[in-house]
Amino acid sequence: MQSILKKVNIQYLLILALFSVSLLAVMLRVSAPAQAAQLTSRSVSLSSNVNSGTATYTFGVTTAATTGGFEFAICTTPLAGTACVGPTGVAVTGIGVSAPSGFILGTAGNVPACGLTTNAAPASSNTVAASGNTSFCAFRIHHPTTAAATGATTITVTALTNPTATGTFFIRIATYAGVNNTYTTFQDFGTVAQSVRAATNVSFRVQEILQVCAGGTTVDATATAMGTGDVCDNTGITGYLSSVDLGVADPTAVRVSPVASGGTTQGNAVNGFVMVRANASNGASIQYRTVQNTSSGELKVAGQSCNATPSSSATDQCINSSPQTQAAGTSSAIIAGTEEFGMAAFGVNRTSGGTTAVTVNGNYDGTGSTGGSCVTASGVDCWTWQHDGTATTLASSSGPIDDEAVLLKFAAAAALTTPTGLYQVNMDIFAVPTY
Amino acid sequence: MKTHGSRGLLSLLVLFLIMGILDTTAYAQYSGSSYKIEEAQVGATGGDNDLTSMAYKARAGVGDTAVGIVAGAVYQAVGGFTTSDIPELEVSVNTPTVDLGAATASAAQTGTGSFGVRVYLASGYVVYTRGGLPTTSGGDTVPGMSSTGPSVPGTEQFGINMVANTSPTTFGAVPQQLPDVTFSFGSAATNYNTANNYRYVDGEQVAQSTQSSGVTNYTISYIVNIAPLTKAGVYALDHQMIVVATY
Repeated sequence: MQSILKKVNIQYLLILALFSVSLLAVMLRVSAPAQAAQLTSRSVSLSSNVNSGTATYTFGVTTAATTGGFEFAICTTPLAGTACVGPTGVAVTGIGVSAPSGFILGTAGNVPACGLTTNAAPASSNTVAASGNTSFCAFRIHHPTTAAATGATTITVTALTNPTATGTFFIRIATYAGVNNTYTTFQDFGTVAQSVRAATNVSFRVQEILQVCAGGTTVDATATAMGTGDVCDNTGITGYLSSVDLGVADPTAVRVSPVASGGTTQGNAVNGFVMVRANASNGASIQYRTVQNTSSGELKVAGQSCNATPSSSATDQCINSSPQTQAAGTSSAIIAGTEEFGMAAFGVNRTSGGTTAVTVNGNYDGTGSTGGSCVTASGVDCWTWQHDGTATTLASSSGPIDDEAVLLKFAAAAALTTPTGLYQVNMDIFAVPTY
Repeated sequence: MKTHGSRGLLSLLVLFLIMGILDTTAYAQYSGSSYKIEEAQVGATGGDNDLTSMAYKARAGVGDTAVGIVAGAVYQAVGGFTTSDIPELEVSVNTPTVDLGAATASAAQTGTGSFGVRVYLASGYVVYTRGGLPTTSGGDTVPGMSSTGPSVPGTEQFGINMVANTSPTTFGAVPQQLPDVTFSFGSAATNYNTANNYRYVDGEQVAQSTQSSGVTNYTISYIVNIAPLTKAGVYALDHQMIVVATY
């Protein structure tokens, strides 16, 4: 009987001991501090992954509890709880925080240090500060008043400098419940990986294009089609004439192109034109210079000399030229019976192209009409001619030109004393593109 | 009878003791729609069987049969002799320069570049294209193709895709999985995965993987078309492929 009681007592003592140990174990677990967990979802996106470049870093993290502060350490290795060595070249000086709303950068004196161990579960120290209150590889952000971040949270940090070396680097992230720059009550942690490298340079070339065509056209208005297929190429425009014939001079009339063929006028019924096609991004200047013949570029009998430069006589074998600008006003007008030769760029024909880029120079924007009413720079009844061979701008553009044609009218008047002969002059028309 | 009852009570207490003592913290690496386990160890090999002495340190394992990534519709696991608990993202650019040559209005210019992505211990990754438009030193640009479509000579177009093409010429390649499709899972994104159709919208997604993946090598097919009067110059862009992994 005593042995039975002894056996029962021993069993109960054993049970009591085990119960006590179990209860102690449970109590110990219950009283242990809450353990930090890994952030269940975390990512980082860089606005530029070029090494050494400056980028905006956008973090996406999911916090399990309301969070008042975040810590970010940019390291060469990922494992939290180990020393963080900052990648060469990383810089956090001058960074900014644009999200989440209300969060701001941590103040000086509370910056994690590079080379020191970062937080990991279970919580260890959470106030490791950099020597001298500065850090090139880590930073903290916080909300001044409220643990406002919870659940899926986007954190945007601007003006971070990427590592110098290409390859992978890691950002260790920690969250804290404490607000107002305290970073107390360590919550969760996690690491994300990113990489930087040189960008791929993709390139191609667009070759320079310049095509200039000049000659005579029957087109006498800017809206009249230049003709199907009338596009400028390096061989000119098929079917167009290379000369403008003002016919037979008459002291009682002014011959203005197009001068009708046959009859008393005997012209060739064409105007002049210059068409340009260029892909110069800064446009082109369309210019001309008169080809000099016996030292002058006036309408003259070939080989003959003029009385002066410019010609001023109505008895030599040179037709006096219109002024070189419209500044002269009425003297830029051509009147029947008064010897004078001039040119007017009276419009731009764009029926063959797709741009509206060309504008006529103010000294050549004459209306192509005759009479004595030219007023300074008005263009009406004004004619000009650059007789001395100097390159002069007829028209220009600020961008590419797609087969735009500057239409040119020529006018000549002879005096009663003008000697007989075949009067002619050659123009050298060209364009200067700026690519 | 009493002895049986005591034994039962004893068993419950022992179980209670074990539950009380063991730490239940888990770190997840394998994930599904409703769970995530990091660095789980099954079987003989893993991170806990380190061999150490004063003079050496080693890690051993026996009987490993599974090597690589095992994936299903809702799960993914990494098996192997010794798997790492370090998250990884590796991006390699295999062609630092792509010269498309002299563009003309009569035919497209083409070229290819390539890059590789490997992501470990992630829920997947997304690749975005970034770099702006082809631009000259003077600021002139050729526009990117804002809608997916074919090459049209004579029209200013800059576009890319991530697959093999036969028009305007035979070039490009589908994403290449290394070493094979059981390890790597990257794919071209919608809008960039149709042969002979191109697109280029800065910042848009061009590729992805929905799980950790071995190396996927992507080939970028570039095309450029110009108009008859596209401004002359050397057009260039620094093209970046931004890879964002979610862990």
